[in-house]
Amino acid sequence: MTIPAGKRAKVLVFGIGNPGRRDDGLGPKLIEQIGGAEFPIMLNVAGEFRYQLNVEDALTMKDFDVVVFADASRSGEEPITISEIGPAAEIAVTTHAMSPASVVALCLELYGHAPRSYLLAIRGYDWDVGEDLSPAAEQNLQKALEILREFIGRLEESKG
Amino acid sequence: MGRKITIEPVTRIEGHGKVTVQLDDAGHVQQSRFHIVEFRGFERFVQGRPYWEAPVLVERLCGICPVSHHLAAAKATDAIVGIGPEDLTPTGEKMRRLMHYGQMFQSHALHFFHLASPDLLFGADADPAIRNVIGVALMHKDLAVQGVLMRKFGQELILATAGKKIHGTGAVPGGINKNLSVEERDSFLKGPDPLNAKTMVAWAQGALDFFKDFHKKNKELIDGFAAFPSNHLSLVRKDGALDFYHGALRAITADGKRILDDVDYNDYLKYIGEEVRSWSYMKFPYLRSLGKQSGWYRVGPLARLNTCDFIPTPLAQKEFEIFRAYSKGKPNNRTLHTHWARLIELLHSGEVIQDLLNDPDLLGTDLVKKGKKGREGVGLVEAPRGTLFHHYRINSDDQIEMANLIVSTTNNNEPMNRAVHWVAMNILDKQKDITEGMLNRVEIAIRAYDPCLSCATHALGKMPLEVELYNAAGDLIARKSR
Repeated sequence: MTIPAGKRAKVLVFGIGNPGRRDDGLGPKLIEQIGGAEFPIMLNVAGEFRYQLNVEDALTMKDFDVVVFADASRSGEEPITISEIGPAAEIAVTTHAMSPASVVALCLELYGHAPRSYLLAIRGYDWDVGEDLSPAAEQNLQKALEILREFIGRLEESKG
Repeated sequence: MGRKITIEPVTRIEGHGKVTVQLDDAGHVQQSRFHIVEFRGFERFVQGRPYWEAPVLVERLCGICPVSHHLAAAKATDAIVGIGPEDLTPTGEKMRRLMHYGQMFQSHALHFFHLASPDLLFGADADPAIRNVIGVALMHKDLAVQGVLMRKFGQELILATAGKKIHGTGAVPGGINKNLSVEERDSFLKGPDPLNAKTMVAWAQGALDFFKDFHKKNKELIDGFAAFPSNHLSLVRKDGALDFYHGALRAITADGKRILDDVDYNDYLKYIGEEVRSWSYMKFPYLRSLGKQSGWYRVGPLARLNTCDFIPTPLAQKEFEIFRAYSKGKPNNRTLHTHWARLIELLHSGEVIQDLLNDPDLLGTDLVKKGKKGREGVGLVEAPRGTLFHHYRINSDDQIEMANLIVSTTNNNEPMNRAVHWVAMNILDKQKDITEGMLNRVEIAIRAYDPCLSCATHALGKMPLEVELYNAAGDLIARKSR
């Protein structure tokens, strides 16, 4: 973290996914819950919903200190994993989406800096058409919010 | 028994593309296929829902062109409430047009800067670490910045007209639910550089000039790559003008003969059929009058500039005349000229946006009209990737009981297969392995159409692009992935 002491750190959480495809909506539903959650007073936490990430998100994130990309995961550990991500350029087959690492790389190239970035992968199970989360994903969502609050709180403690 | 090469970008849970190329014992291409998993669950999803929800529900079909689905569904539900396309209030129609042309502008800009320009700037054989939008940002920061800001300008127009960038609610059956405020209009029209309409038009012209310059220096690639004759189909305005929001169906043959002209799209089922093939989840639309074998057609920018008679804005019309002159007035059947056509449409969209913003009707307060309610409605628009069909029928409780959607990518199913086959025959024939450059040439053919590989679901855990090589016995002998 390179947030100066005394500065109110700006944290952006991207919630990525389609809430019309059951557990794919984990990211957007996390954003809804962030709206009502309490965070340390020295942190300014904002949430943005995205179907997919794209080039303009490099512009959106450039003025934040920390960015968390929250997305549903079809495999991996339950309930969530958090990992730091760095810039990585990738070839696109279509214009329909960019990976979090690609958006970080684009931000770095265009604006000369990029926020410290993390991937929050919330385990999902059911990708059928529907607006409700599966029961297991619902539980993971609640744990994800708790873990995210704790994680963001630690960012505040680590300010230099 | 030959070898089978599989190229499989598994980028979504439901939606992904896969290219299979079958070689014979001598290594010659026997057959190629581009498989796309088409997700048609939304047609079931909307059944039982009130018809007025359709314009919002269908936006979940696609994260990149939700406005197209929003407006096609809105036009279909207009018909259900008894309002024809010409019956909307001036404010209703022009707000929808501003929304739609804003979407075309941002989508076309994104395609050029994100998808096409890396191939043009660095070539198909360049290191994949450079041949991407990050590489463009590294080597040509001005182009990359313009791409991001043009996308943002279009997104802001969508926000102002639809209420939201993603799940807009602006269009409602019979009209629109908001007008444009003076402040919003002025910010788009006279806002500080670069986010104003004048700069956007200038940048669109710059992107087009960049492509034309590249074309002059690379005629063999741009003119010859994956070129093949096809029919073309699009909506065309009554007077023959290019129009993305409304018109009648027109279809022409590869040499310009009209197959359909001035056809009311409410009758589309009389003229267009959809063939099911056992090896693909996606249907193959065709013109009934020509039959399944020869009735397939292209949609999208290239098709639109082949079917229309003129473009009703001056800068784009000038470019259209150059474009048409290049193929001596005949239909243009060169796949990579789709990029050229797309950039002319980008310029046209910028000009239309500028004209609309100067129109006081956008500030009007008469937003919605009602007519005599019916049970069925069809709505078509020209989406960025081509003609988009929505068709709904409702029951006596106002619930949708039937929905039929033909999306642009489905319309382009056979052309994309033809483009991939061209690459297979010309690049992969007699090859024993697949290089990065060969793989990218397959992708270049697909990228010209920018297919929607079902945006419906997006989750982590997806696989990268993967290539598998099988020997004559069907054993996997090589795998290549990014």
